[in-house]
Amino acid sequence: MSPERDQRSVGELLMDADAQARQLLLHVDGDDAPALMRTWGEVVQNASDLWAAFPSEPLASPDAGPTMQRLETMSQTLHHAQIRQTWPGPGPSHERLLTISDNLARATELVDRYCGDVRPTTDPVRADLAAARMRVMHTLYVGSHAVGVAVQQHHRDLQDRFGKKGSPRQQFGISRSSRQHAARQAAARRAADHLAAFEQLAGAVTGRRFGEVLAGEHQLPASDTGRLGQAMADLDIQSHRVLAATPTAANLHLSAATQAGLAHAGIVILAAASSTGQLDPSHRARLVPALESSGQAWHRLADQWGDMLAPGDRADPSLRRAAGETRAAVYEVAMDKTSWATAEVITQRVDLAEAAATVQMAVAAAVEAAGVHRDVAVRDQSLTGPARTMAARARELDDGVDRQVPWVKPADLHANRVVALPAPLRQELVAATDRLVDITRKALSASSVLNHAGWPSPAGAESPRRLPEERQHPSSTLLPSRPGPQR
Amino acid sequence: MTPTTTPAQETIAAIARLLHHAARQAAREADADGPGSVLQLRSLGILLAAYDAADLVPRHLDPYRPRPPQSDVTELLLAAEHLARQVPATPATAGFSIVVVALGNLVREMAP
Repeated sequence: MSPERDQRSVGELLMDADAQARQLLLHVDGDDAPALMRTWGEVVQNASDLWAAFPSEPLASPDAGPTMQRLETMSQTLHHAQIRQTWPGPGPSHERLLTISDNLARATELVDRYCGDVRPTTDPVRADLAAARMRVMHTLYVGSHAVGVAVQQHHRDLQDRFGKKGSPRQQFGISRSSRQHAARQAAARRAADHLAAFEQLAGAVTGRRFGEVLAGEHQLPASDTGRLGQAMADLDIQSHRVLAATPTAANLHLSAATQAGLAHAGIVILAAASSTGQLDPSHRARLVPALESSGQAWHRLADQWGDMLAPGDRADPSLRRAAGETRAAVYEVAMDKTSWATAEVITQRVDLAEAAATVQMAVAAAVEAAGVHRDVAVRDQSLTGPARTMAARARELDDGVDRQVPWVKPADLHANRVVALPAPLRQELVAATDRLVDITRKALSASSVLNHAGWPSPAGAESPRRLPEERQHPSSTLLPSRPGPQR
Repeated sequence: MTPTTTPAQETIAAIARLLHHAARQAAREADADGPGSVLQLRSLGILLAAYDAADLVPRHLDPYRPRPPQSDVTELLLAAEHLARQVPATPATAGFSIVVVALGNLVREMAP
């Protein structure tokens, strides 16, 4: 059986390399240091080769070119020092760094092969090229930081285990083993210093220009609405599970804020569907106001739950993950860099009829979620909040009525203790959730028109719903996304 | 006995507070902007980062209050990003990288 071809474009390979470097930062510890050090030189070498293979073009930063040469020289110096020293010595390579290295090598192959097809004459191509260089430098920057963190930790571990290198016993070497430990510590220390300098150099190029340069990166489109639909389904499941078991203010706040975000994203997707003729304008006129009201109601409820957060409240990790994935999926479909994508861009990414159906599912799930929030507001007698915020909100709701007995005791107020929800706030919460249930039901009713979204419009035009293979998936402006050679 | 708190934990709590209020402020501005405001999705991203940071704060510290003096979302985010640079990468701050990465992305999203 032949090995699977790597069909990723240069842009995808570089994004993956950068993402792997970030992941590395999350997972390394001192024990990884020897393997990381054995592999790091290869990463820098491949990055440098790729850099040299890119079409020549004035760089975003005039220092960037010489910096890459300096980084490569530094890495070679370190490599030669490692050969002379006893540390890290022979052993396995680091898998994640190898992946980064392979990605860079594969990108170099593609650039070498297709470089002749690319002329950096237009602004988008030049911007994409600058972004590709920035990705390479950022990968080295984050990677060197991760390797440096591991090496520093390894050095501290060696000190803890064998004592400091500076101790007379080790400096003058009573035993061969002591001398070896001292040499390993010294080598690790030198490597850590070297990596710190490397990181500073790479960081000087990425610096504050990272976001600005990366804004020019050509982004590959999402392939379909599968991720969005899956993310929404996961969010629905996790919200039910978490809010049933731990209906804390933090979980309720995050759940409501996510629903608010989804309602707004739904408006953008439906607007795109409408402007490309995949949704009847009259349906949009009915649906969009319903989603607007739903988004506002969720936002206001989120604010109320947010007021009730106690110092020890934390949002459940599974809910955070589900909300994060939902946001990422919406981002992939409906965002273009820092603003909402245009209808033309969204329609290139997804089948808008499918996306509209996903919005409809989200609207249905919102009705359920609103019911859960209402149940908590009505039934949960353990709802609490910080005394000062509760007292301030209760005073606002009392509307100037002078009460003999304050809602919050002065001693609780003084210490800002966590207190039971005052009655006016409970009433306000119940009213808000009642309203929310009503609004989300109306939105669901309005969204029933989406069942007919694929029908011809009243103007007589056929719905332009396209087959997946007809969608445009433009390749990187830097290089064509063509099947590459076997890995 | 009063629980001990490290400077890094204090810093992360301050970052969580900045992010929490940035998220709420962004959500209010999105509400004022009207339907389909891009700030809505952004506020959710900030809120997720705030809860990620809060998760690293010991329970005796408040990651939500007091409210920071800044009221501008970008200022709040930049202040959080600035503080994040002071958090050392040690076993005690394991998991903070997620917040650092999220902050980098959020600052990039806020770029005009």
